[in-house]
Amino acid sequence: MQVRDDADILKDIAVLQLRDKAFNELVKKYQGRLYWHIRKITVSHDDANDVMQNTFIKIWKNIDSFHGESKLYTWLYRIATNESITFLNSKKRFVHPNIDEVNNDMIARLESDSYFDGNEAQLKLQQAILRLPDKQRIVFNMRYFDEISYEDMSEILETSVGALKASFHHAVKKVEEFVKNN
Amino acid sequence: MKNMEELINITPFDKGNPFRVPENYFEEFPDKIMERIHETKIKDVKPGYFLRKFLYPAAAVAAIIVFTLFVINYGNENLNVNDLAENQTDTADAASSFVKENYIIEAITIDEKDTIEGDDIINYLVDDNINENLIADAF
Repeated sequence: MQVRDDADILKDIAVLQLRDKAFNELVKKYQGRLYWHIRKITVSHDDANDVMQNTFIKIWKNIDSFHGESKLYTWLYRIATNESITFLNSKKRFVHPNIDEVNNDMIARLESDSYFDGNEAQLKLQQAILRLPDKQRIVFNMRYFDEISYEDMSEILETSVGALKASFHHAVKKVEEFVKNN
Repeated sequence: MKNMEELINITPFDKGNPFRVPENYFEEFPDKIMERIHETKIKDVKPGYFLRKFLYPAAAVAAIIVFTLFVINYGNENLNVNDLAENQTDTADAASSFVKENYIIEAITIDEKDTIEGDDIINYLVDDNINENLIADAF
């Protein structure tokens, strides 16, 4: 099936009779990108799946408020990122009030995750990334793995380009240090 | 960019995705999410349904009860809806209206019968230092 432009899909979403079908098309088009973005933040598949569902429900409820001021994909990423951060914060609040415990828990889960089959080097990199503060981790993943431009990241994270560059720089330094020492 | 190059130089791994998903996850996800959205739509509709089903009839019944009590209450004082409307729109001419004078007199009479006792009259006269001579003088 041919993948249609965002504008065509959005046009159909605005028509009540075509809304469900067009939204389904939007889910199919963006589910992969959003899932991997969320998965790198939440680490486990089960958590990523929960956040994915919340993300698309939020997108469904708010799609009428998207008027094309930004790119659709940056708008979708912003919702996915916010939902992921909300998820992490609620986990910290109710499960592990100590941030180190959250990170240690995520590292332990990664090591025993049946849906993680990276080699030793990839595991080491993920361990290093999971030791970063949340915001730096998100910036690192978006820049390093997804290769999203700073300008788009700035729209998604509502942070200045300068601050994002600084954040990425610090993240890289920390990752390098961990990889060298372990 | 320099940072990324440095990182690639010191780490012997590619940027391939080390994570996996359960089989058919992406094939099944769109239908699952549409199902959940459909459930959400039903939930969102529920308050409206509740209003139509229970709240509006309850409000109608309450309005009927209030109206009935209102009519009964004024009916006891020989007032009907027309009298009330007339009173409201024609207050300035109330004193000159024979019908309304009758109502006023009747209302005062009922009030006096209902509320003023002999002791009240005596107390009033004592409090205001009015004796029988003063009353006799007045007439």
